[in-house]
Amino acid sequence: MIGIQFLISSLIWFLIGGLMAAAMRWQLAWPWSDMPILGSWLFEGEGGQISPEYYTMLVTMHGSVMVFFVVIPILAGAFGNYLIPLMIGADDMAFPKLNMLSYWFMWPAFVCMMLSFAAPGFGPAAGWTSYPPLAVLEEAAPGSGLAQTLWLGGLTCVGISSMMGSINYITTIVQMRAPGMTFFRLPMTIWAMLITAILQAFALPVLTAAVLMQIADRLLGTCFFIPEGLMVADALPKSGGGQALLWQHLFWFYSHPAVYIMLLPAMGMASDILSSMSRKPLFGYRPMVYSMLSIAGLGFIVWGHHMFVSGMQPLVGAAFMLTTILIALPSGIKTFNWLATLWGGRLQLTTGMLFCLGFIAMFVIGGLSGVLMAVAAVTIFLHDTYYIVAHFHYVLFGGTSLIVIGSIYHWYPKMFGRMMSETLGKFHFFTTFVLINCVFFPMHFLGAQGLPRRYADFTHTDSFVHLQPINEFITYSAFALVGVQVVFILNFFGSMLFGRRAGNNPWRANTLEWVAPSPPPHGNFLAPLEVHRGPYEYSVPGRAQDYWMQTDSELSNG
Amino acid sequence: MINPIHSLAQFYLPPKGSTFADVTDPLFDAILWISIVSFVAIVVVMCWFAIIYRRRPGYKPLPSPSHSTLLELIWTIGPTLILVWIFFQGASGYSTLRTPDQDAELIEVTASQFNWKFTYPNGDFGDTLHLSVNQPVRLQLVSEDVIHSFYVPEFRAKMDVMPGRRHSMWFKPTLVGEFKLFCTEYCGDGHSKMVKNVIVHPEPWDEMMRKYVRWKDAENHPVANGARLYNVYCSGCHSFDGSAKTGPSFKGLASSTNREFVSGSPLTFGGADSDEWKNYVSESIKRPDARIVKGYANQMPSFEGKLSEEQLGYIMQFLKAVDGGTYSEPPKPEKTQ
Ligand code: HEC
Ligand SMILES: [Cu+2]
Ligand SMILES: [Cu+2]
Repeated sequence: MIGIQFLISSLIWFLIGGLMAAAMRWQLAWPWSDMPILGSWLFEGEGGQISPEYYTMLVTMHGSVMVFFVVIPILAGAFGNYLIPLMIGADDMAFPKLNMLSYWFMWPAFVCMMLSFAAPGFGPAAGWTSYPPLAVLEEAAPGSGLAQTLWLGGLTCVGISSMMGSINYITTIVQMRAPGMTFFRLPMTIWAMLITAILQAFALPVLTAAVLMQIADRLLGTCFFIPEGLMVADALPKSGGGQALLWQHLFWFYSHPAVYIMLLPAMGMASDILSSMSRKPLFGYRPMVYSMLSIAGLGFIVWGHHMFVSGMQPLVGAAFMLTTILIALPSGIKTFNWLATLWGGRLQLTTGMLFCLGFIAMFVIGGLSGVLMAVAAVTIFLHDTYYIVAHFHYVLFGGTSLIVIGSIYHWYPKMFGRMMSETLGKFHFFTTFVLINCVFFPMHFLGAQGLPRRYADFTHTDSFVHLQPINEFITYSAFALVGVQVVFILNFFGSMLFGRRAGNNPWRANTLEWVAPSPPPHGNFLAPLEVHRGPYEYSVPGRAQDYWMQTDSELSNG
Repeated sequence: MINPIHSLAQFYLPPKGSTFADVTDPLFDAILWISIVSFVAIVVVMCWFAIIYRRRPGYKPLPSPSHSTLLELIWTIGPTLILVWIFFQGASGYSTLRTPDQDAELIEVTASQFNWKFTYPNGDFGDTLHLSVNQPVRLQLVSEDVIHSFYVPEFRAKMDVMPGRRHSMWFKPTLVGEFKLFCTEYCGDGHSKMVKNVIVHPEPWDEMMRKYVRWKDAENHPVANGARLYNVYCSGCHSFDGSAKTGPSFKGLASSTNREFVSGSPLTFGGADSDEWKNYVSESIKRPDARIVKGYANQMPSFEGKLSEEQLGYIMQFLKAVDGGTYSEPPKPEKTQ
């Protein structure tokens, strides 16, 4: 299945991105010291040390890989693809060929990114935001040569892939629902996938256009983003007339909604896992749907909060500040509803459930620091410091990635027909949870001190040397965090062979995917389905069983 | 050695160096406390639920609602009130931070890869930002190449420096001392070294200007003139102590006898007084793309037209003076009538 392919390739990139982060942490804790093992091989020229160019390339590639190759494809590509047909009772996606294409379009992107590492000159090093003129003028930085063009090419392919995916998701969800599956009987995961796909479909064309404009600036001599009178190294004088700021608008017009593209599916899956593992209906189903819709709507009008110090008219800034602060509201509503879902339940603390609870705590930290940074008067100080690094890692790593891992534990029995080891799983959860906090929480302190991000070295001025012990602590924790993932990898592959066989419905959950055999055969379901009720009828009073599958035709108590 | 209170403060906001700190810090504190309280409340409830409602033998859950309009209203309206308060506080603070004081003195800031240049109202310039305490200043920010960002943590002030746009920012320093200016927009391989000094003097503005911002080439030793130009234009990419930066270090340049290039034949010179050496250095500065030193990239901008022949001469004097890898301030020449 395409979903599994997406899952495996994203997990491999997850590992690569994580190793890049570890290399960065090495440099930050012990600047310019020889890196063990890999150093002498990778950086022969520099005598085994990371050079500043290489550091910025790592920053760039870590960001790009994690966002474009891991989080977005694993949520939409892997879980979207896998769960949408199963959860709505369809035999496949609406356009199976398009679906395959959307996966195979990831490969040119993978190849471009791999090649860009090896490009003459240097790997791309303009940051995952690729701000011009740095990214546009070859002479501006060693990495802005061919590597940057390849990077942009890769991004275009990712964009095409996501676009094909989202059209497919929207069509499938709208058209292919099983009889009786009304919109308000959809599980939250499907609502989230639908809203995400719509977000993608509206935001992505803007990014793709911007990327093509940047490619044109680089290759065709246009000047969309190049102002007049630049003196970058020995770049030939350009006619100019462009605006570097334009890129930032276009880029963030996509990339802020992208934050929700990277978060909403996780919220949806969390809702499903929480409800089934609490043996309780999801609290406030409709408010949950509406809050998701309003997050998506507001998400389109907050992009300016990335540009408070880019020279913005304060009145415009204030408007962006208002919308950004408001987005905390639906996020809060979701959190409170999750808590109320637990209230009076009968919690089964499986690994998947533990990851959900961990997600809630981490998401609350990331959300609250988001409110702090929505306030322009504070962000002028915090912008581009480690505070923001802490914030988005809490949202994307503490938030989304925990749910991704939790969802793997939860849906693994469906995907591979066997259970993952709960003992290893719980060990994995507790170590990961503690270590994530060891890595990212201290970054708040660094940020409050004003430590700028994307610096290869802090030790050359006196201002920040007192923070070096924190940097070392973070690095040790980061290594450990990467290390404990070995447990997960072992569990993941080991369980394919040795896991306990799972029946169709090991968690005794209500939604349609648990009707299908595990793993689902071609066509997913053995018999046509009919849906009789919503997805969260758990512990209905008077029923012997504490769950009531959506397909159960009996209307009376069983 | 370390006072515990002080060492705790080391992990919180930096010292208050300008009036902006009185806007930013209280807001930071307030929102932080709101966040801590909300976080603790949420997590305590969650853990409590996870414990009392966990599945265990003999536990039978009591029926609980799965929807409550009242609760939804409470947790919508409550946070709204807090958020609206935060917005108004933030908006009024933001407007303070962006409304320049009428009496601000104007300083022009020019950023380029990886140097900062400050030009004062009297026409003098340098690589250190001299300010006087309680004197508001307005900075006109321009960039010659890519985007940079002007950031002094103690001042809680930050503004991007954009090519093709003229940004302005203001602040009023309130703390005497020496601070660091950082670049916070990633601008290339020298980004993390794009750091300069900001000195807030106790003297009033005019006196401060008379004392610190009045350089006249004629009154100074040529090597000192060269050093000043080096600091402003070259130090971001070239060291003179042999340490690695974007360009080759100036240590040993004057005494070197040959150069190899990325392409083209190598050069040999007969020391710093030979014409070959002078021509090579002057070519390196005016048309750096003509020959690229082996091991480096074509990253140096041309200074043709930006530096006069006289200034070029000063720089060459400076290059000779730092040949050994150290620089010592030469004595000021005697004042002549
Ligand atoms: C943006 C960074 C940058 C700045 C600013 C810069 N240079 Fe360079 N410079 C380089 C690089 C990179 C090289 C090596 C490549 C080349 O030869 O063009 C270099 C080479 C040189 C050389 C040849 C050195 C050798 O060892 O052969 C000289 C001389 C020189 N620069 C002088 C200056 C002077 C004087 C200034 C200031 C007025 C200056 N540079 C400013 C980056 C810079
Ligand atoms: Cu955003
Ligand atoms: Cu910079």
